[in-house]
Amino acid sequence: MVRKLEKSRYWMAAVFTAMIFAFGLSVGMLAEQQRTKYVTEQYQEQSNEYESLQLQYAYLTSLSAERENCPALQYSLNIYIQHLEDTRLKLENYHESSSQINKAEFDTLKRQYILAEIKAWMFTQKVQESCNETDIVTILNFHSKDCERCDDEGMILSYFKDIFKDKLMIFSIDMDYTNEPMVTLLKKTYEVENYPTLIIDSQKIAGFIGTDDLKNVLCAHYQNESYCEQK
Amino acid sequence: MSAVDVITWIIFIITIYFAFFWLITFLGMGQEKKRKALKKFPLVSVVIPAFNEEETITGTMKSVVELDYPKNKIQIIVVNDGSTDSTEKKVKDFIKKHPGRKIMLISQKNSGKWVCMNAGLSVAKGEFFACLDADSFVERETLKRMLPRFVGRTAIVLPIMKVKNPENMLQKVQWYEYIVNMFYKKIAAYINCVHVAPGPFSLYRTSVLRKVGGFCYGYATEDLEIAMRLQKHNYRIVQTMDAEVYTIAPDNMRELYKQRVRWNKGSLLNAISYREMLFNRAYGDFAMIQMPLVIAAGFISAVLIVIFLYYGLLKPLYNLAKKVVLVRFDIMTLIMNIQINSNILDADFYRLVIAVFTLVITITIFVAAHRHSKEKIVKYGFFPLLIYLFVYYIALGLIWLAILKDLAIKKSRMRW
Repeated sequence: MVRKLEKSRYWMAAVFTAMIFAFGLSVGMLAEQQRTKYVTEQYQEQSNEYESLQLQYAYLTSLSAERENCPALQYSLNIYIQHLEDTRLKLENYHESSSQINKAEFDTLKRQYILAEIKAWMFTQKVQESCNETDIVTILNFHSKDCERCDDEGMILSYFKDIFKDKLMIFSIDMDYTNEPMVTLLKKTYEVENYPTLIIDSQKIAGFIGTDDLKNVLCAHYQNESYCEQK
Repeated sequence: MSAVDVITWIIFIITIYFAFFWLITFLGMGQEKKRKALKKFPLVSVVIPAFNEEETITGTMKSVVELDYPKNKIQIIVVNDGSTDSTEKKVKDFIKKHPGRKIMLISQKNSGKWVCMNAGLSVAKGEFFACLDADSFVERETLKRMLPRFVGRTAIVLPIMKVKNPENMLQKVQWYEYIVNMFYKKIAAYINCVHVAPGPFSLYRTSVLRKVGGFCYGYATEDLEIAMRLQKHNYRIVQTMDAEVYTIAPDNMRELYKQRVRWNKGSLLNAISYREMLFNRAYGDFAMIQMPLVIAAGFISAVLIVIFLYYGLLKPLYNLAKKVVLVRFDIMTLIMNIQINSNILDADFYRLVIAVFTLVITITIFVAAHRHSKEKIVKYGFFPLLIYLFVYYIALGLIWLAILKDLAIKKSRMRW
């Protein structure tokens, strides 16, 4: 006795399954395109912001002793850096989950953001100098993907950012991106050998630094911070 | 893509395939032929195996006695499996109170349900043989609605099993679960793929049951074993949606866990012992879809639950805990600075599509199940329904995980 076996049902199920996955895949692709579009747009906007900042700076320095305008410039700079960081973090996430198809676009965007971070870092230092600002600390955070404690360091840094707010400027550089000569250059200049490595103003700290130690380092740079008074 | 991603996707594909297969089968089912009225009333033997069931045994027997069926055409055989409580006395009292009825009591030393059922089978005089767990109750119409379904090679007709008076949350959740499971069995029965004949009032053709040699131990799930054995002998198992039997469902997690461990272990181990049917075309759809499903079900749920727990729960919790430790428990600062900076583009669209699709199928089947069993959709409240849809399967997955772990350990011990 041979029992019934309706093959068409099996094929239909297979076809529908394939269709669902094809649909999911296309929606995913579409989303990815929208993501690159979104980051590109953000980048455009931030480029404009940066250009505006440069102009403001040039204008201020040309008028020489116009120190009273420094706070306004600082303020715009802070907002710019915040925008930059928000988009950069999104880009990191999108980049990680991206398929091979949009890899090239994401790589280009990533390069643009690494450059933007470095530019912003240099610009911040310049502004600080011109405005004679001493109460702002900049941190350059060199990190890498296969580094065990880089994520932890990132968490600690964002915690201090929450505490010191505008007084602390953090710039994260992905050292895996060696296609960019600027990255290699920085690596050489600061003799970065292991990750994470932090450059706090001009002080280099190689390897992971915990919350308490970093607090001591940072508080040495600040005066009159209530957080630093706490035990 | 990591190994975890690959496994996840394979599991997703298999799951969606099964879902589509049953959905297509369901859509092709069409209207059921109208049940013919019963003209003859064949003798039916009802075996009630009982082990310490003093609380429910009287009610169970009463429901059989009150069946809408000629009195002299029902033979009741209670098999007392060495009860240590007053079960035996309750049965004797019941017999005394119903002098005109064919009720007999067999007492044996405790040896398991399948032995009871064989003891009942050996004295059964009926053309049909029903087994009724001593914690279950048949409706008046049940037998009359089931008997006309015996046509051709039909060996078993199954009633629709519902939860008796669900009171607490767990029982209400199981109410919904049973309705859906019965409907799933109805779809499976359409292509003769039923793999289990549950204890509450499955009705057998006595001659077939004797021909295949009665019941076996079957890893403490004789109801799964007999169904698979009859499938192997190419008999038909039919599921009805209108003949009701009510059973008492576990009211606490401990009991539920014990029950499900027995069921799940039974289905996996029995399926493995009938593995020669697996993908053997001679056994039709049962071999091609149901056997693989029964064998894979546990692994699929266990893997899904591990992935869900790890990525959905453990990893985020671990990261949060790590963060809290790293900032020296300065939780206030963390809370004050929480920023929700996400937009629609951050969603994981591949998984979202799969999730939405799965939910749509689940709800479709859920609604259809209620329509076919003529029950209201939110009969026992909306909250238990939500628990059933979104939480209950996590618990069931965890149970599978425990079973597989248990089996793996036993297997490795055996090798030693």
